[in-house]
Formats: sequence, C-alpha cells, structure tokens
Amino acid sequence: MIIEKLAWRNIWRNRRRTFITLSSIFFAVILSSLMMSIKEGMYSLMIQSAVGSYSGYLQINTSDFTSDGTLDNGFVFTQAMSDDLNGIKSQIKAIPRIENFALSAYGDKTRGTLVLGTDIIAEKELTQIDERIISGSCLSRNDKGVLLGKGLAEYLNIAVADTIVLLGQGYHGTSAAGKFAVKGIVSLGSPELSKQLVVMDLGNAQQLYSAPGVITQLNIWPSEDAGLQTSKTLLAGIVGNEMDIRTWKEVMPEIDKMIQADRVEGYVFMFILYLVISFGIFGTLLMMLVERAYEFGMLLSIGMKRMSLAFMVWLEALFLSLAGAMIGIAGAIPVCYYFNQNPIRFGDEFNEMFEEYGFEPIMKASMDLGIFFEQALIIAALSSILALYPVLKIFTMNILSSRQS
Amino acid sequence: MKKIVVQTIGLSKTFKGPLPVHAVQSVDLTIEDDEFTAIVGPSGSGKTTLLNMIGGLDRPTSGSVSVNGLDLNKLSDHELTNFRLKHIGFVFQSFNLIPVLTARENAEFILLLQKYPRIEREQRVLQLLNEVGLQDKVDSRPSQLSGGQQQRVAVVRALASKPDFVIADEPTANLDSKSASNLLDIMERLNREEGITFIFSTHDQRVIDRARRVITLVDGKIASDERR
Ligand SMILES: Nc1ncnc2c1ncn2[C@@H]1O[C@H](COP(=O)(O)OP(=O)(O)O)[C@@H](O)[C@H]1O
Ligand SMILES: [Mg+2]
Repeated sequence: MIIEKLAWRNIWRNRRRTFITLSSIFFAVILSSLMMSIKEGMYSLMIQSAVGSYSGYLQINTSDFTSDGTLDNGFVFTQAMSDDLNGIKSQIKAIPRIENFALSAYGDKTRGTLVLGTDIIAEKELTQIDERIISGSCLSRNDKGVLLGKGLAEYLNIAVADTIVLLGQGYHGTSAAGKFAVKGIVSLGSPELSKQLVVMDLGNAQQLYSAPGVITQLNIWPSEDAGLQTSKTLLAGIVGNEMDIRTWKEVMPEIDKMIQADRVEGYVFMFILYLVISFGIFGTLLMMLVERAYEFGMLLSIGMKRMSLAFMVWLEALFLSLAGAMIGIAGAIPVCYYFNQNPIRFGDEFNEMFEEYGFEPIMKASMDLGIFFEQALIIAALSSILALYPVLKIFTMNILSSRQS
Repeated sequence: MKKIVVQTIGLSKTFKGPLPVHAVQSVDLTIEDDEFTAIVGPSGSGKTTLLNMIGGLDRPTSGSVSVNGLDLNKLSDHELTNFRLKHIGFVFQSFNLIPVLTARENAEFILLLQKYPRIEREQRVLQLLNEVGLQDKVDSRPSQLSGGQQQRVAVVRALASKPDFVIADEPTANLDSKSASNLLDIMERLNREEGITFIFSTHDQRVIDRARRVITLVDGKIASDERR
C-alpha cells in the first residue's frame, strides 16, 4: 500500500507539469474516443440499414446459389419447411424471398433492377417496410402492385399509380415480362439499394418468373438471445445440411471489408495522436527520474528494493496516464451520448459524398463502452512501455553516485 | 566482554582514475554493542567511504567488514539490500526524508518495508516521535519541518526497527549549533535508553566532545582511537 500511496502522491509533486501532461492525454483520449465513436456509430447504422432492415443476419440458400446467385439455383420452399420455421418463431424469424434481376422501363427510361419477391407480412414485421413508405401505400398479401426504391423512382421519373414494365429471364430459360402498378415509393437506408429495388409479393414474383413455389433464399433474424451459432444448428435441422447457411458478413463481404478498412484508417490516426503525446509523457517521466535521482539513491541505501522502486515508477506512469484517460473518457462520454441521442442528419448537398461510401448522410455516435475502454487500455499499455526506460534506469543506477548530486 | 557488532580487517578502498585515490587504507576496527562512536577527520579523510563500506553501501577494494560475524563480502547485491533494511539504520547529512510523506509516514517507512503490523508500527513510531519531541509534528510534511526536526525524524526512522547499529554520516553538518546539540542529546539518550549502537562521522568539535569513543582518520588511516 505504501508504494501505491507514494506513487499517487509523487504524481502531484509538480502540479503544473502534471496538469500539462494530463491535458495532453485528455485531448488525445477525447479526440480518439469521439472519432471512434462516430465511426462505430456510422458502421452500426450501415449494418443496421443493410443488414437489420434488409438482408437479415443469416441467409439460407442452395450451395449452387452461393457460387452463382441466379433464380435457376433457387429451391422449393415446402410447406413442411414453412411449418417447421413457424414452430421456432419465438427464437428465429425468417422471410422467404426471391431476389432476381430485371430490366425496368418507364417512358423512355430504363434501368436494371433488383426484384425482391417477398412475404410482405413477414417483411412488415422484420424490416418495417411499411414504415418507410414515403408516398403511396404498402403492399398487402397477394397484392399485384409493386413498391419502388426512392432512387429508382426518381431516376425513372415515375410516380405512384403509374405502371412500370419489367423484363427479365424466368426460371430455367423462360422469359419474364409484366406490367405492374406502382403502389408506393420506399426510402431505404442503403443508397445503393434505393437506386435499384423493386418489391413485390412473393406469389406475384413466382408467377412473373414462372417459378411456382420456388424461392432463392430465406433471410433470417434470430432473436437477441438465440446466437448465430445455435440458430445455424437449429436451421440446419429444418432445411437440411445441403443448404448453405451464411452470416451477413459472408453474404456481403464488401460491407464488412469496407468497415474494416475504414476502422484501420481510424487506428492510424489514433496511432499518430498517441505517438505525439507519448513524447510528452516520456519527457515527464524522464524529468521525474532526473529530479529524484538523489531520493532514489537514498531509498535504495536504506534498504528499499530496486524492484519496489521500479514498481513505484511504473505505477506513477500508469496513474498519471490513466488519470488523463479517465478525464478524457469522462469528457467524451457526454458528447458521444449527445450525438447518440441527437444524430446529425446532413443536408442533401452531402448526399453524394456519403453515397459514394455507401453511408447514409447521418452522423450518429456509438455508445459502445468498449470504445472508451479501448482508449484506457491503449494509454495504459503506452505508459507501461514508456516507463520501461525509467525502470531500466532504476535497475542499473549506482546507489552512491546518485546520492552525490 | 561486550558483543562485537562490527569488525573490519585490513579494510581498504581505492578509487581508480588517472591518479588513484586511496580513500581508506588497511583499517582494522572493532565496534562493540552500545557504543557511541564518532569517526572524525578533515574533509576528504575517508569518513564517508569507511562508513559506506561498514553500512554495506559500497564494497571494499580489499579487506572485509563483518556485522555480527557475517562477512558482507559474501552477500550478493540483493542480499546486501535486504541486510541493510533489516540490520542497519541510516541517517544522512540531509534530504533523508521522502517529501510526499508525513513525519509519521517517513518514520514508519522501514517498518512498512519490513511489513510490521500496523498497530505495532504506530505504537513504536509515535512513542519515538514523542521521545524526540515531535509529537505535534507527526502529520507535517518534511517541507514544514526545520532541518533539525527533519534529522530527528530520520533518526527515528533509522532506529524504529531496532537495527544492529545506526550509521550517521555527518548528521549535524547542515544544522545550526543549537539544533546540532539537540540532535546529539537525542542520539545519546536513545543510545542509553534503547541500547542502540551509533557510529557517526563529524568534523564539528562540539559534536566530537559528546562522543564516548573518537576514531580519527587521516588520509584514510586510523591516526588515533580514544575512549573516554
Ligand atoms: N566515488 C569516488 N570516486 C573517486 N574518488 C572518491 C569517490 N568518493 C570519494 N572519493 C575520494 O576519496 C577520498 C575520501 O572521500 P570521503 O570518504 O568522501 O571523505 P570524507 O567523508 O572524510 O570527506 C577523497 O579524496 C575523495 O575525493
Ligand atoms: Mg563525507
């Protein structure tokens, strides 16, 4: 206890210097936490809009579909599967879907689209598609109309009640063509999806593509407490082992990769920030060492172990930097909390910039406590490394000559 | 026959350099239990070097020091540190105390390092601080104490754990004569009442007059050794 007490009091021997060191750590920690919190916040929004409100956390499809994602590699969604899935509804929810490509046309404009044939009731429950209708109304079961992504509607210059023409390839070489009334326009989180999505009732899509009973995939939302792994096992029992059950990261590796790359960018910035303050911390430790050479000599003379003295100096470095980290975190949390509760929505002029990166133009800070904990951990590791020098000095210092000054 | 606490045989220390300095030369010395001994001599005569070797702070070039029959040459650096902690008390000329600890905490420091139980520690230290007249200063930091008061705390720290002997290298050198004589009074009384062996160096005649044995060093050799 005496060592800890000494270390803590020693930090405050030169208040001005300690204050300067603390502020540098404070700024580094607050900047890093804010940056990481905003980055993580954007990632979770992105995952939320791509995964939570579109693809689900797991996807089941045939193994052929995994390598070649066409309708021909779809499978028959049997009544037995449907019943079994219904049985585990409290833990795992599923939407049977067809995803297929088609050419859309309206007036003199055409565009490639992603046609989503889906169980509209399940869709409402899991992706809240009905809440994202910005004009017109949502589909009902067996509806013959379609919903268009906002970006697509804008491109085609088509409005609710207009009729869109879809042309494509059906099941096993048949041709697919149809005219559909636009019932509503949906706003989608992902700008990419917004530009190409056409949503219709599953039965309607099966008819368009001449694929009765066929779906390309089951998209799965496990409940909070049914983990991905247990869900996988449970689902394999229902659909059989020949089916691929993949996580969203496997289905959409590009999203995960982009997040990883962006995160690395953050870490590089953080590294530079912490490198800069390292010099300050090191300088402080060095001065503490030089100023107290006599005292260290005295302590070693009267019988204090070098190990204890080294431990004290390491604790001083740790206390100093952790104190800085604590106030930095204490400063960052309210700011992050504010931007978590009041996300900033950027004006339309930023849309394009954000879209390029696949983000929604919203800045929302994450309140994941791991972000703040990570800063404290980095600072602790950093100061421990920096303390190696004074520690080494203590192990090699000469008792008598240090007392001669 | 009294017990022999310190015995040096042919103790020498030579500092290497372009001109080697023979700081201590073939010193044969025996110090018995309960002695109150002054090592005197002009500056540079080797007092500090001799005390450092006796206290296990420095190793001799040749010869040996034994404390209660234990040859210090046989101890590793680590063992020597532990030996100093448990068997020898130190009082230096100045800056003896840790600035961030109070008088009581400084006085307790050796006992803390030796892991004495709290009750025992407090009793012993408060009693000793009382004896040296610092009962009102127990919670003061060194910066709030006079030089003489600081030295008294250092003396208490040195003998709190009842070491085999206390080494004090010019403990009064930075004190005015009144504080110096006061410190000597205290050391003398503790020597008598606690039976603590004191070996101190000085070149102050008034301090020399208080010693019961005076060993005079000249050029690192014992020039005279008188008991009175
Ligand atoms: N570390 C050292 N290196 C070289 N010479 C030293 C060292 N320490 C002491 N000396 C020399 O040894 C001699 C005795 O010094 P010291 O023991 O300090 O004497 P005193 O304490 O009596 O003043 C002096 O000549 C001094 O210069
Ligand atoms: Mg000296």
